[in-house]
Amino acid sequence: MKTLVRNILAVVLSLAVFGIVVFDLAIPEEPARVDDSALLAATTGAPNLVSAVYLGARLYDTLFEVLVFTVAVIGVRFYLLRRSSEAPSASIPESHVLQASAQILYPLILILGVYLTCFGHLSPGGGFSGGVVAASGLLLCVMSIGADTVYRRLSGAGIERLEWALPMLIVAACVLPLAFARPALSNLLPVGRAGHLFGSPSILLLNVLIGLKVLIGSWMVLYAFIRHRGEI
Amino acid sequence: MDWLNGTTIAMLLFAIGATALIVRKDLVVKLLALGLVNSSGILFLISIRFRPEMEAPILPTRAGMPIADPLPQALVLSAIVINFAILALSLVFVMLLVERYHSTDCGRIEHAVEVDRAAPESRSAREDESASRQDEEAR
Repeated sequence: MKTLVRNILAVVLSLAVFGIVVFDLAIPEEPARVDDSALLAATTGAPNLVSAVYLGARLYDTLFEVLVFTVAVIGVRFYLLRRSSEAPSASIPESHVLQASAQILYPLILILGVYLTCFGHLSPGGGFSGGVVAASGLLLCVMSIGADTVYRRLSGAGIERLEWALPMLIVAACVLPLAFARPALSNLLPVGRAGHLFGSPSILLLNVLIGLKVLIGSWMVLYAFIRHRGEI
Repeated sequence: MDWLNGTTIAMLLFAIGATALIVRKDLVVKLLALGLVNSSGILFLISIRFRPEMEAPILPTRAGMPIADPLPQALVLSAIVINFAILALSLVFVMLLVERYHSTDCGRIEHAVEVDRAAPESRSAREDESASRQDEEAR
């Protein structure tokens, strides 16, 4: 039953990714998406033009970037966690100075990661960098309270299921505009006032999804390495 | 000092990284060199469409100032993520190789693989030998 559901999900995911190309070609394109920077910022609602490019005009590239990242995380987990079940490595205690300073720093760095993710369309940042910053905050958290404690708390929150759901959600956010008779990979939600946090809700949504994906994926890679080689 | 800009530094870094990638035998050093080559490519792509007088591509900019081209910056973002993915995956493969052959030297690993291919049954004996050698080193 579980395998069946997984197979169906895999088929739906791959069909959706290729369906974007087909439907995007079938439905007539909006006139001139990228003409000059002001037009680009107006159509996506994001003053940060880099965000407007990679989450607006060239969203298809970003979609495959997320898929490449997912495949890499799957590969690391597959090869490392399979091996480490045979011989769990002993943990090495951290020094007290490092523990105490990591305890002070990790909430700040987690919050910085959230800020970078949420304000990626207004200022430098975005889902990818914000997710990595938050993951380094988690690394500091591991240094202060231990990897297994962090892992228990996070997997208690269902983080692994979320990790597999997030690529589906990102693909869904790219495909869903088709349901409103708009081209795939265009804005899912209407553009608001430029320069505000909710000025471009679809880019904000994608940034948050990608940030979560990168955070959880990097944490999975980190945890696989920690399990295999002992505490950092 | 006009020649000292991002493009030339990127070429220099690429040369250093590519040389290390070819010359050095250690697999971990090879991975570091690969990271250097990757970063030099990123620096090159960023700097070919940037001049010091240009503004960052975040609106609104000061009137009359040219802004840097956001397209290479957005594409480089993919390169960074894929760089991370390649590095993590190849590190895992290096770890698996080290577990099996107890060495990061690619010449030694190639030799061991050839020995394995020539005489598969002698592998267990060689593994015992390398394990005992490692024990001695640990002591």
